[in-house]
Amino acid sequence: MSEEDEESEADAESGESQGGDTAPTPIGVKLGSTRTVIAIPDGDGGLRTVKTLTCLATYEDVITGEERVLYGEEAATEYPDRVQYTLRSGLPEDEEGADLTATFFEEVIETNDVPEDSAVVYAIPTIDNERGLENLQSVIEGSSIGEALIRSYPESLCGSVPALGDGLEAVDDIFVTVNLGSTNLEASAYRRGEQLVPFTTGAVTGNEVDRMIANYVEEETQGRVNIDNTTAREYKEAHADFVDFEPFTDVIQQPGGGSHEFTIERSVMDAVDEYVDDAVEEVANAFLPELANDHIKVYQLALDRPIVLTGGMACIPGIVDEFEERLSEALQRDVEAVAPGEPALSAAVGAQRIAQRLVDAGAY
Amino acid sequence: MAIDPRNYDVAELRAAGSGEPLPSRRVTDAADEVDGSTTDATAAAEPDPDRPAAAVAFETSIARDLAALDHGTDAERPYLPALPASLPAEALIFEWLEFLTLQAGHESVCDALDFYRRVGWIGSDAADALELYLSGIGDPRADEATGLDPDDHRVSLHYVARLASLSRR
Repeated sequence: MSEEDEESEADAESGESQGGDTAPTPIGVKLGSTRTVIAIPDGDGGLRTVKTLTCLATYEDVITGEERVLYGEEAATEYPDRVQYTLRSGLPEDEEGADLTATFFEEVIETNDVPEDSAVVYAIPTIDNERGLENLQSVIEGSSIGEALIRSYPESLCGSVPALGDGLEAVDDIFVTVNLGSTNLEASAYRRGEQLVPFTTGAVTGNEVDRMIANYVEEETQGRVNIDNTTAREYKEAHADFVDFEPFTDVIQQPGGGSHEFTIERSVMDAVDEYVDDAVEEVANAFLPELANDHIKVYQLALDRPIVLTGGMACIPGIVDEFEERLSEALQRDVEAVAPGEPALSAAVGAQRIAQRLVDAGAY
Repeated sequence: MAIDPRNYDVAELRAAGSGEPLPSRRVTDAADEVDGSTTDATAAAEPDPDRPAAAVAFETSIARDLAALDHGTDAERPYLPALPASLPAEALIFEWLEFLTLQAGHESVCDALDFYRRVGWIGSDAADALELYLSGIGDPRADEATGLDPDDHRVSLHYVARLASLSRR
């Protein structure tokens, strides 16, 4: 149902007492459009991370007649016809979406024993969508965790924290970060924790890459193969690689019976290649001019420091170097790009570190 | 809105980052404070397909601010004979020296101040005072490996103009 990874986070301590009481557990949460990640202290100085697809499916128990809920990979695999991705656009768009997200989140919390007596920091995309934020707020406030404290910070800041040090160095630094997400590309500058010129576009997204892959597969196979966006995403996650891409083979079942084997040579890499070009275009020609216009000093400082890439698309092997090379070319100056060790987990891990410090400081 | 990530408490976050005592909670709008005008310089810039848009915006922004600070009188060198004595000037001085230090480290900043004195941007009194301030600024994140480039000097000129403007008040 979910993947659990043990992280060796040296700074993640838990259970310290304040004035004789047990301190709340510091937890980081990223409710992402594709994946939800929760980072929890494992009790041994490290982190336990729960990573699951942000989706659920309901079915009727044939014996009791009760409605049952499945979430994550299990729901996507067993009920592909009725699985619902509850945060497809990044935030719950309506009350129904909020209810579904709340059901999903509570299932994840319960299944993974996420403690209720906790201080929870949420990594949230900076999207100008009041309604969506209100709906997400109802999900967060209605959840059983975060009894001691709830805070939210931009996902781009939380995601940058693990990339810039073992603690909260990012909060004391000046840098630019680009979150390469499924539903948005977000770019921001940070000046000692303060977000400057938040920039978001829905035109360059991981989801659009999935759609392009699906289209290109149809073209590459001369119309013999049609794949859905979920399969396209799986192709992207399994095979996209700027360093060492190898053509791959898959098999589909024909409607009339039998199977058809096909090989993909270009579709995946053509799509991610165009994505990098588009992302660089947005950063170089939309976000950075705005930063230069409003914050001369920060612009000049931040471009001489590594640009932090986060988000699911930053997981593609070699994409950081590609981005760095193409952005340097676009800006006609050398820039460096870096990514946290595990970009898909970094927002939750960074949020957990902030939660830990807030607990240490007695903010609850 | 309580969970709006654009409205987080920067002071609380900074205190958490540094391990300092937490201040009383205050919600700030991160977009409120800008160190330049919000005029869209890119829209005003002459389109030049060969120049990166960000570089054009940077230079336009500097030029715009310098023009705004030019009070129409014939400027005399040095533009900044001595440092103005005021609290806003103090903050500006630290901001400028911190910028230079982060970019290139102490040694390069001393060289730069000498250069600015020789080209008539700052006077000897201002240079001496700036070196005194510089002795109080240390930053482990200073990038000692790289020198200051022309764009860094443009930023410096911007600070010179802002300080000179404060001197005239």
